[in-house]
Amino acid sequence: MKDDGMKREFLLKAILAGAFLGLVLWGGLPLFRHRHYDVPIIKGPGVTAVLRLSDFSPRLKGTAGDTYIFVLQGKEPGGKALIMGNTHSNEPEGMLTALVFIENAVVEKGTIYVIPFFNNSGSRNTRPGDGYPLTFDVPTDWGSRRFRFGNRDASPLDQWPDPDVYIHYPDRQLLSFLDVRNTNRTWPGRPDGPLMERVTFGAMELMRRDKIDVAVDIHGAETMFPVTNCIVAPEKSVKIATLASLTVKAMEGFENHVEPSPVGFRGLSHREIGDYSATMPFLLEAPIPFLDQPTGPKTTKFLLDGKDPFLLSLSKKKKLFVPYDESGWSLEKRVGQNLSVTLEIFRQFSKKTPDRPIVLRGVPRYADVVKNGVGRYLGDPAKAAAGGVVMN
Amino acid sequence: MTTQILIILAVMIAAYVAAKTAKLSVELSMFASALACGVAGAFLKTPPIADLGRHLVEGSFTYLDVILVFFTATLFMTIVNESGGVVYVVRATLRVFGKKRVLVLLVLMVIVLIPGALTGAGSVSLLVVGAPVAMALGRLGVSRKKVAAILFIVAGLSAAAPPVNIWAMILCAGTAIPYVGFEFTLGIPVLILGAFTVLVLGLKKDPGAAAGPAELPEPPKGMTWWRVLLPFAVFFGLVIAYRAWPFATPIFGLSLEFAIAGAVALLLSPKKIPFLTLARDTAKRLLPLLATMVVVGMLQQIMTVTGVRGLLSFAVISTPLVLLFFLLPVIIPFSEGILTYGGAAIIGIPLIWFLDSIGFHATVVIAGLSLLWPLGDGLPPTALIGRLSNMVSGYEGSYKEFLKATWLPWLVITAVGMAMIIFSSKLTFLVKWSM
Amino acid sequence: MIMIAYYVITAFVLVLFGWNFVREKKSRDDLVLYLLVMIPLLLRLLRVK
Ligand SMILES: [Zn+2]
Repeated sequence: MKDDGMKREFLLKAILAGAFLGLVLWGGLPLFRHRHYDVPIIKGPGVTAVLRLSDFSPRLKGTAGDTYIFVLQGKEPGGKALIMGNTHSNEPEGMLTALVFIENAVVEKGTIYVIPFFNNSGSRNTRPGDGYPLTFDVPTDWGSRRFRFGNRDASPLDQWPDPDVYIHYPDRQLLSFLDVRNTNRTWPGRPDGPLMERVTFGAMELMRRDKIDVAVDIHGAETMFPVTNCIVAPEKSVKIATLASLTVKAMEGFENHVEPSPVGFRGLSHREIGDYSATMPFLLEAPIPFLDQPTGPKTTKFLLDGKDPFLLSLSKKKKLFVPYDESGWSLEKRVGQNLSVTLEIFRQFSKKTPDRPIVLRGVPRYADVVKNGVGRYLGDPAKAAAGGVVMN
Repeated sequence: MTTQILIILAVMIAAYVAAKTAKLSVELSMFASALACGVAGAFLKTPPIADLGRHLVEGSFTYLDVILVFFTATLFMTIVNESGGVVYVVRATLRVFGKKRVLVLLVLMVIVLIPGALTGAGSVSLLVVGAPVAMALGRLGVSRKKVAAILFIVAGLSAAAPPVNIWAMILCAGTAIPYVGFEFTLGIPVLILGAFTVLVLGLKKDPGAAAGPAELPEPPKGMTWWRVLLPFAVFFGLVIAYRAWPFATPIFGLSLEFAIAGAVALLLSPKKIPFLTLARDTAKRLLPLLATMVVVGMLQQIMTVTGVRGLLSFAVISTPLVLLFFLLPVIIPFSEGILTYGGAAIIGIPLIWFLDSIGFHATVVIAGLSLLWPLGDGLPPTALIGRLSNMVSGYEGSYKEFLKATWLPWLVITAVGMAMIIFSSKLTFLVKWSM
Repeated sequence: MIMIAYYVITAFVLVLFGWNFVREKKSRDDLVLYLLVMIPLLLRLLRVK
């Protein structure tokens, strides 16, 4: 009798443990694969060197915070610019904009540095509770390219634990504990601080040492967020930002207003880059409906086309900060406008400082991308020359 | 799309009710509800059925750090309690303050406020000082039910108190509003409401009510002040060191800080403590609470991926303003009860954007809202702080009765919070004082 | 260093819950809950998530 009870207990526990292991494998494997999936990046015709961020912040070496810097040096000297994507890895239009530059741009005057996965750890992280897809495919002329969909914050596997409150360096402003893993709050960073401070420090060092004139940090923001569809610029960059905004409106017909960078809000790229180096920072926000709270299911289709019935209804009630209709807000529009605004910032800068021009060709503009899709400007890694692909 | 999501929502609720009817625990019923919601969603490929496992597992991580904090903090306090430290402190407090009842009550309130204010978690207040304060209140002749009520409300206020208020931080991070200007905006209401609560619930002795043990047990021989205080000094020392020298102090995180303090307490205990047994008991005692955190994370993820969460958020934002003001006192606490901090993100962020754009003062609105959210920590299904306060105060009566005991402070806090939201533009002086 | 301490804490808590699972005699509900809590602990320890 007693034996029977024990047998039954053992059986129950074995079944439960089996179910447990099954669930752990079923759920754990995709997460593991996501973290270890590498995205191929084709070295385009303009790429002259590939550096690592740890070259500028030595204590990044061997960590998941380290990431690639693609250098596109022109034949003639000129100004220097830095483009950053995936500062927030759940805002993929920045990363795709950076890839289009890497795979297509040919620089004639000056040098462009591109960091497509600025928060590399964040791009290998996922966001618990928010039900994002793990990857998304961008259709191309020859098939499709697959990318990781990451998180706003770095992975706790790379930076753990969080403090109870994050104290910003060096201003001592109190920020949410989460922001210690947010590379748009850890600027200007320290060489030996928490990992994400070492990441931003690396970029600061790159800008200071290589005397970079212009830095463009590309994001996406919710349609219900007041700071969306805009260029955020501090005092020193506001003139160029305004000219760029007016020009794209007049010439290419899309809206992209200028927001001043608030002085009291520390740790952001558009604030600290300007304050701690000679570089002029610009932060680009394209509307990404996928990140809004009141939306339907978070599917990859929605991520790409930006169409949602709830947002449409809210738009009619004037609760969004961008125009929004049945056509949604597609990836093409988002990447296209980032490309045009970035190119326009370079052009306005070159006009204002003729002794440091940044001149390039090969990069599509808004209308091109809206018409042809982003995939048209992404190559086939299988067909790239030997040594022509970097896995990130 | 709305109809489809409504059906999924209905399946989710039905599964919960069915599980509850089958006499499953709250935690398991929520798990069943998450599973049902995911399976219902899978019919529409939101999520695809193959992804369901990943969503459940990923969701389980939502509160992993909180789980570790709960565990280490509780273990620490269990060690202190086992070593006789709690009894020692309570005896001393009552000896020193003696008959000045109002003063004792206010001192006890401040003691409960501090840990939560520093860490942003009311649970830390309860886990660290809850038990001794409960014992002291018991000695003052306050019934266990009222002790639990006081602890719940004051711990909630401690979470809202500056410098660290996690709801406000989530809202600020999500709305790009600087997390500054909250010191007086939150500090003044919290102190007034805290004093109101302890005096209303604690001033009168409850004749006949279980007034705590008539005679406190003797603390073990060899117990001294420094043996009691040193572990706490180590904990607060580590918390404060980071505040004072943030760039020279490594980031320990709350869990490790509690673990270190626990190790110190273990070493200093005048009597030998069976550590492993104690740890296993702690794991058993915390099981419902920690399982709730895991399951709520899963539920949150499944609700998002099926669109249920978006629909709820949409419903709140589409509500006309005046109606919304009437509903907020209900919606806000319940969103916390169901989703804990998730509620701040889902409802709070769009709400702040909306109110800000029509001329409300965002900082004051956030402060007002963050007085309402902690109330929800007493509401089912999670009821985290409510359950913790019952646990540390040793109240074992019905949970409903405990909630009823909080009605007056609950109402006053709601009124103050709502007044701050509605009259935010008239209260901007609080923000100016803080800057 | 500190990160290692967190893996040690995680492992410790995981072992406690596993131990309690093995020893649990009475409540079937609790058996499931022990396993649920172990999911994130185990996967963090294995550095999956
Ligand atoms: Zn961003």
